[in-house]
Amino acid sequence: MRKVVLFTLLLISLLYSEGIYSQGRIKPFDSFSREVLYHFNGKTSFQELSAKELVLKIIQDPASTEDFELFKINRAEIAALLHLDSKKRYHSYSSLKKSELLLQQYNEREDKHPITLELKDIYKNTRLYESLAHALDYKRPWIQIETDSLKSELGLDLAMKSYSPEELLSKIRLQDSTLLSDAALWWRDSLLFQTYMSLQESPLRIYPSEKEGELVSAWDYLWRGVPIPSYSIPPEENSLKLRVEVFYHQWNLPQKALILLGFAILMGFITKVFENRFIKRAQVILLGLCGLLLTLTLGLRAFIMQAPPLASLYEVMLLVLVLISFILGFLFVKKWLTIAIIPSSLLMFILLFFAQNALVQGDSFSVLPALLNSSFWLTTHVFTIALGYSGMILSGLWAHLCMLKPSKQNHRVLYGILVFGMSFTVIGILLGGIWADLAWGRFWGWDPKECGALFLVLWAMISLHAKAGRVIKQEGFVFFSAWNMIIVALCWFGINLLGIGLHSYGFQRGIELSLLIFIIADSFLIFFLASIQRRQMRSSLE
Amino acid sequence: MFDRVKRLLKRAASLQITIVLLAFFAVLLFWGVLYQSKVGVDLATERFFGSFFIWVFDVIPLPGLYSLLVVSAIHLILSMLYRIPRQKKSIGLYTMHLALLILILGGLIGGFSRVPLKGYGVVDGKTDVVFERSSEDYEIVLNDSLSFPLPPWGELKSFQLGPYDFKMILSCEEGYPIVKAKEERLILKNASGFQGFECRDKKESVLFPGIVLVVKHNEFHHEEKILLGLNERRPYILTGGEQLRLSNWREKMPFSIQVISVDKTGADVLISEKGDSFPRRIALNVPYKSSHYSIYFSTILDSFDDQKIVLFKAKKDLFDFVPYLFTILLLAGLALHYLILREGKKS
Repeated sequence: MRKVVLFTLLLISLLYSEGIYSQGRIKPFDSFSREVLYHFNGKTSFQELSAKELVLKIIQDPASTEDFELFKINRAEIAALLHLDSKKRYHSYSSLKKSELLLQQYNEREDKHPITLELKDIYKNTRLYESLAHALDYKRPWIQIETDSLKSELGLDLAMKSYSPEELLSKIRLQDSTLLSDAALWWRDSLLFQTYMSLQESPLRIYPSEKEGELVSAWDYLWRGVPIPSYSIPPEENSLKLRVEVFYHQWNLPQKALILLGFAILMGFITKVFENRFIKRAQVILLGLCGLLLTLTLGLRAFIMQAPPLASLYEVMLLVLVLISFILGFLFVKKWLTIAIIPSSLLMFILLFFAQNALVQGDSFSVLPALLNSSFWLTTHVFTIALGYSGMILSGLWAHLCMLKPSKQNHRVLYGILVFGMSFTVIGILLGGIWADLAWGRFWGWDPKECGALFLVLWAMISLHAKAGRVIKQEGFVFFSAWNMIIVALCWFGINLLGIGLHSYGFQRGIELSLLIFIIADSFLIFFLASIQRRQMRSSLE
Repeated sequence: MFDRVKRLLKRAASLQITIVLLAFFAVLLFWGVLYQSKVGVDLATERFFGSFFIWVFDVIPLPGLYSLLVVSAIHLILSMLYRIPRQKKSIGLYTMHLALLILILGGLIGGFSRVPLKGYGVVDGKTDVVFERSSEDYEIVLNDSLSFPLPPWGELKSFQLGPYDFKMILSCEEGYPIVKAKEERLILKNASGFQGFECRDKKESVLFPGIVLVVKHNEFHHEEKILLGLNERRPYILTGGEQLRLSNWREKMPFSIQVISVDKTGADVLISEKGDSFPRRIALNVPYKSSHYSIYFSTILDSFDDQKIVLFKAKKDLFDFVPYLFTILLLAGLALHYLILREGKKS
């Protein structure tokens, strides 16, 4: 009965006190659970259980979750290899457990074949599941001692057959080893070792200490004979941040912004059929609201991490979207936006959809590496370069529009945005260079990310010089600029696929396909629009 | 004749040439980055951005960054002379192009004059950090204070260091340690325990630069024959107790650094410069910069006798002001150009 009460108390503390140390930061248990489930199958809930409920169930009653079909296997050949039903995509831990040895062998392989990589992921996920399932083992009576003489020598209750490591440690930790027989000593040491190892394996092994800012392992508590407080008890100043993070995940503001953009696009198409001033205004308001939501998202992220929200590709992408919405706002005030509302909404929708689905992999909050940890330079350099990229992306979009509806004003706007984008990219590069010089002792190091930004500037300079020297005509300049979005995508995301250099925070797996689809689709669109432009020119000449 | 030359120069200053050069830069950059993913940043940078030519299949030469920079510098000078109109409204353009010219020339000259260094510091708060050149320049060092620069490999010299006369009897860059029973008595064991040294070709697997010397004390007339390998962990101890080592060329810095303590992210050091001593931390993203030298923390090395050794990376760059000058001029040019354009529109 006492155990049941203790267990329940522990679970209640898990549910309400939040806060767990994982991946270099204290995060809410909710975020931790979402990340775990994301690794298992890319979702945030399982059947009717939320991620948090599911992870608690795995910790509390692992046996009942062994048959849950939690683990996603994408390739049918992998399911066949593991002797599983290849028609099913989701599999249980109990079915994967049978192929443990095979998974272990694949995990040791060095090749980067897609099948090996997926098998490695499956292996890591089963290990993660196991570590959660064994997280409370120190409270479970799983160590059996049958010899009464040993029990009495170790000072244990003779009536019991199984003991939890916590109980055992509380009895034996202070025993004088000189008084123990060899057998008892061997038992004691192996017991200590087993308990130590099992606690090392647990992802919940680190607990906040009584001292501020210090974290100690469960082992330390057990060894000192102090009861483990609970899984968390976050320091007071952290608790608000943790609550905000839970709120952030529950509300999912970027998702709401995505819905708003969807409505804006829909309204744009409605106004194409029925000319209505109110719907047009509503469309602009929706775009503005979307910008506001994304700004709020960045603000919340800054508050949660207590640092500029520029630590990952996802956050920089959100910043670019906010900046694009600001530039669009400026164009709207200048009354230059009229033809671009639908395409701008569509562009923002695509970018946000890409950010939400390809760039968020589990926990979207990441701790910035020490190498890049400088609030001032990170903010100024990344902000400026994001402003430059926003301009370059918008110039690409405007070039598409110029092909569809060529006019003097559109061409002027295109030129202006391109110069704006290029100038800020140059300033961003220079600020990055100064930062690199101060931090790493060199202004320029031919790092792939630096080269990517420089390539973008060279591309823009080629088109501007070609226009100035009349090497290409207005249509040529428009055609050239239309490739800007693809060039930005390659120089910004494509470079990350190489996986080398110092800008490791931007490395992202699994965006190759999205990038390829975008490049192919936009290339087709550019050629299609160019053919329309040519036809228009021919007919106007005739 | 003069007109023809002028016409030719004007053509060389044309925007078409600018575009061709920019396109070459773009291609070089694209190719260089792709190559980085294949062989790593350092090697690709050396081949693409640190050379005059890129050799495709080891046969076909294509322009490397340095060639492009030379051509671009000439093109920029010609553009400023013949193409960009000499008007008040072009001040911004001139300034931007001048900034580029300074960057290119500074980059070119700086690229040749930059000296990469490595610093080794014992964590004891007493010993000065020793900075060595990363290039293939070597010297023979007595007691970490007196040194003699090594002549080209194979060239034998006699020289004096402190109370000792030295005579080189064998030296080569690609040497191989050998054990010769007959010479065992003649050549004493060096720190690594090798008893002989033989120059071999590059096909051998164990190769390192080495030198065999006859050392004679001026007063005691004691003579010994020794083998020095490059950067041996333990120096050779001469009869008089002095330490002798063969090392990379050591840089004489205008300041000295002693390492007090070290952790994973940086080292706490004491810097003595111009009669002043002050504590500093040289960390992962906090280098120390002084008199054209930049010193940044690299790593902690496995060391002999459980002594902690900190590895610093450093460089001497006389042209380290160039990027800053470029930045100031370019931004000033951009601002001027924008303001003049705006003024023109208003009027």
